[in-house]
Amino acid sequence: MKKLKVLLLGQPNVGKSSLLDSVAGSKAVVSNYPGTTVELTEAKKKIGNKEITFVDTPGIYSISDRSEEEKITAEALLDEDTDGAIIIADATSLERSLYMVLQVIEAGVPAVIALNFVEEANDKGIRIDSEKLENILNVPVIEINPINKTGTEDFLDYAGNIDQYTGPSFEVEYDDHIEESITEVSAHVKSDLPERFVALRSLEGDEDFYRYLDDEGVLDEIRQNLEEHPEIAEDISVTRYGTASFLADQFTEMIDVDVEERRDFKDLMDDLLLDRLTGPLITGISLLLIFGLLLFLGHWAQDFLMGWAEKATSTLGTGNTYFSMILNQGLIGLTAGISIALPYVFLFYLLLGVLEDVGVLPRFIVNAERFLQKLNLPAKSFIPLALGLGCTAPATRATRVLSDRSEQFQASSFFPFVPCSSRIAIIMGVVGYYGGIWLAISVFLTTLLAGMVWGLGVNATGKTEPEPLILELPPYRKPLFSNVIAKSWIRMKDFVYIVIPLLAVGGMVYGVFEKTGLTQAIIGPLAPITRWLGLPTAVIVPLIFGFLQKDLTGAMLVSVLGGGVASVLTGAQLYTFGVASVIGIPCIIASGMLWREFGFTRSILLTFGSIIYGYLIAGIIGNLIYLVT
Amino acid sequence: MAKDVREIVKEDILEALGLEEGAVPTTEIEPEIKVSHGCITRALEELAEEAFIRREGEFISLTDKGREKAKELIRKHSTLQNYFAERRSMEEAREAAGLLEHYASREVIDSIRKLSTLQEGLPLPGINRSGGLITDIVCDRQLFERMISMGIYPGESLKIKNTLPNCIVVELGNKKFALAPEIARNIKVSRDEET
Repeated sequence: MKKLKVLLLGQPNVGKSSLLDSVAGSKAVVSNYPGTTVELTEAKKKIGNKEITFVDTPGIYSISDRSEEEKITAEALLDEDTDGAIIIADATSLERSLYMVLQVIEAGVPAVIALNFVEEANDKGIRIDSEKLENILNVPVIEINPINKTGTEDFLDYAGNIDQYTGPSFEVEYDDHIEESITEVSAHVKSDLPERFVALRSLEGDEDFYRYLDDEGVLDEIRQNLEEHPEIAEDISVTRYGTASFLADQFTEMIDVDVEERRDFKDLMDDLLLDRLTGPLITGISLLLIFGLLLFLGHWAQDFLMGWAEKATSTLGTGNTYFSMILNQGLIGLTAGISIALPYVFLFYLLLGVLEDVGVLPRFIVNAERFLQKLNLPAKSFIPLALGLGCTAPATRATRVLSDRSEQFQASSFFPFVPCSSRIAIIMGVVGYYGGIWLAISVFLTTLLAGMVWGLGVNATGKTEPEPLILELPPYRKPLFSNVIAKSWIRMKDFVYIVIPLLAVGGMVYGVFEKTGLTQAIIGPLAPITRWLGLPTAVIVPLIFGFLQKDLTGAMLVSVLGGGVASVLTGAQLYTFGVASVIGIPCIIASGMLWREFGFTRSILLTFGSIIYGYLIAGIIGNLIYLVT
Repeated sequence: MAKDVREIVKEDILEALGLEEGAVPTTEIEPEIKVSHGCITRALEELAEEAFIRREGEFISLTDKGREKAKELIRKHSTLQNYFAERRSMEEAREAAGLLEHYASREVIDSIRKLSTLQEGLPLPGINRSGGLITDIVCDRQLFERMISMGIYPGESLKIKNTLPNCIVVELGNKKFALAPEIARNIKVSRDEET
């Protein structure tokens, strides 16, 4: 069987993942590119006697060395296993897509252009002569529409033959003095890559390409040149874009349509969402509504699943042997995890995916940035932090969208204050259930305030400014649901394969501690903690063992207090318990994920630092209330 | 570089016609060109011979070829006029442009256009109207390439859609971008309103 590896390239929001989903189904595999933090999605498709591996790359505008995403994409593009690249171009603004096409052609990689949003362009009076484009660039051009699957067959056909499109393609002509330098540098290129390409990238100052030059002298010359005439690098990109824009002009015909002047619903949406007052307001209210909807739906799903789980555990018998005790606790842990977290987390990720594909999320990000800026966080940290409202573990992994490790860790240091589904269940199911909704809200608010104070502390450690906002706001579009589901599934994967089994393990470990009497053994030595918090000594069990399996915290509390939670704990005590169990890295699974991402020391520091911080705050407020009343 | 007076008159006629729609009576063109009636009549004859205009009785209109030529002349004129408007009164600018346009080569016009736009550029956050042409982007190489590849490019016309405390929302062609003030500051925008 012939194997082919085809890269999908394109700008953000150009429909890459929708396309991948429409041609290859949603069986995509997320893979880490070796040694980096950026993830690429792969999907395999068999046609006839060929197996094509499609690689979905992060949305980027050019292949240069500015960000990790661009670096990785360039590396993947130049990898010798890669047989070709399909560039998804936006028909509504062809010149912007052609920039990267020209770069890929310069790199000598077989290329195919897939033109998306052709109907949308037509509606705007833009007609593209793809045949002419194909002839001039000498690169196949196909029109696609992932929503109704137009062009899917063509697409697969071209993808399957991509290694044959190696003919000489269009060449961007630069100014005479640049061409001279290109010729000069080309003579010293020692690599399988096209000489002209290596010369160009080196002249553009991309240091990754310096290693392909065999002469130190040339290198020095390039460096010196760049220092004395930095405009050479600029001239190259300007010429490339100028060429792209000239080419686009040649193949694009503008037809007058009377859509321009009519203001529609989308303009109104943007007026409201990008307003200094209504923007943040709508963003906040929408997030609260999503929250409310999830609590409602999650509660409903939980009732259903818990009922089923109780039946299952009761039929297993309630023997007092080690085996049945561990099995029972494991099963309780598993069902608690599944029933509390699964409906909630999956629904949440689904809704987030819809907002993302509709194009609302980038507007939310713009509004949220005003707040994130104050915490010294870059705009891009919005998505991982929002995912944290589902489950902290996969959200930790999602910080990989940020460009460097220290930014990733900085964003992660706010997870202690982003309540995940299990912590929300404690706030609503324990504090709210026994103490009323206002007590639950005050725990939420305390967490939020504690997070802001924490943020001030993090800022004081002297972190550099986050990357300033430069974000494209895509037009509003109808989402492709299979794509949304595929994306939510990819985000859920860690949860299903890592978190859920560990929830069962956490339950089992708790079963062992129960059976051996170890839970009782720690009550004595750890009594100072509960004394500081003003709570009954036995409450240390849910506080400490909740770290093994957060979803069991509520059940543990009920079991140590012997049922009557409301009669044993006062309102103030419920509040203190809530704050102490909510603030902090929630569980051993999240802590392990931090370990994987940032190493042991940082994980331990953040986990214990945040938990102690939470206990301090809970204790201080608890003691204040005690003094006042 | 002296040019025949009749050539100048011919160019002025084409320019005047280029600003009108469809066929125009000759009597309407004459007052705009301040030369004798006879001179205009001869110029019109030559223009018709060279297939720049069509004559139908008292009415004249541009051929396709003539329209092309007229467009080029008008572009030249407005470039020059904009350039001088910076330095003189509007009336003087119009006169200077009207005179120079017949002599300046395309290269001169191009560099004047460059010169005038370069001088005109204002940082994007500083302009207090709905937009203009991007005249230049002044920043480090990486950010520059980033903006170029996104399509934020000198010569593109830009519209300011919203101004928020943390960013400016601009529209270029069919795309919208949110730009932090630190980013927007690097983008210089023409002083003149452009559409």
